[in-house]
Amino acid sequence: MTDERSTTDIDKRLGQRLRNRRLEIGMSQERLAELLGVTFQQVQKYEKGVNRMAASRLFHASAAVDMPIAQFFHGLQPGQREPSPGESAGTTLDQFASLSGSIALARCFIEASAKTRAAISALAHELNKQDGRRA
Amino acid sequence: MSQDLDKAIGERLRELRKEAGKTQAALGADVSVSYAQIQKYEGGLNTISVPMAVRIASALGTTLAEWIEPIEKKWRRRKL
Repeated sequence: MTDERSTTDIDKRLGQRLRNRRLEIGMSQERLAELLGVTFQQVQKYEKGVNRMAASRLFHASAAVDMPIAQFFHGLQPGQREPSPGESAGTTLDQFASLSGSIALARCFIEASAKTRAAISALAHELNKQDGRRA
Repeated sequence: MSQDLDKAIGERLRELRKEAGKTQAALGADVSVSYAQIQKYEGGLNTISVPMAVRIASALGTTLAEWIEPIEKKWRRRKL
C-alpha cells in the first residue's frame, strides 16, 4: 500500500518518457497541459515523477504526444523478456534526453554535415579521454 | 472521459483476472490490497496507478501491454 502513496522509480521513468517525447515533437508543457486538462505545473510534476499519473491519465498523455502506450510501458515490468539490442538503445536515449541541453545538441547533430558530425564525435571522445573517462 | 477509460481499464482487468482463474480476494492478497479495492478497480470507481498496474499484471501472469493495448486500439479510433 505504501507504494500507492509515494512515487516510485516507475513514475520517474514514465515522466521522463513523457518529457522526452514531448520535447521530441516540440510541444510545450502548456500545450500538453491544455490537452490533458491540467495546469502546466501538474505536467511538470508528472514529468519529474513527483506526482503519480493514473493509468487513465497516462493513456490520455500517450494520445496527446502521439506515442503508443506500449512504449511508455516498455521494460517497466520485472521478469519480462529482456529488450532486444535495438530496443535497449531506448535506455541510452532516455538517459541522454534527460540531460539538459541534449535536445538542442541532438538537433545540431542532425542538421550537421557528415564531416561536422565526425568532428563533434571526435571532440567528444577526446574531451572525455582528458576527463579520464572511457571514450 | 477519464472515467470511461477507468471503466474500460477495469473491465479488461476483470477479464484478465477471470482468465487467470483468480478471485478478487486472491488477486488482492497478491498485491496487498483488499478485495474491495480490486472490486473498485474493476468497476472503474478507483483509478489504477501504473505502478499498481504493473504489480497486478505480474500477479496475473500477464503484461501491461496485453491489458492496455486492446483498450488503446478502441480508444484511438475515437476522439480523445
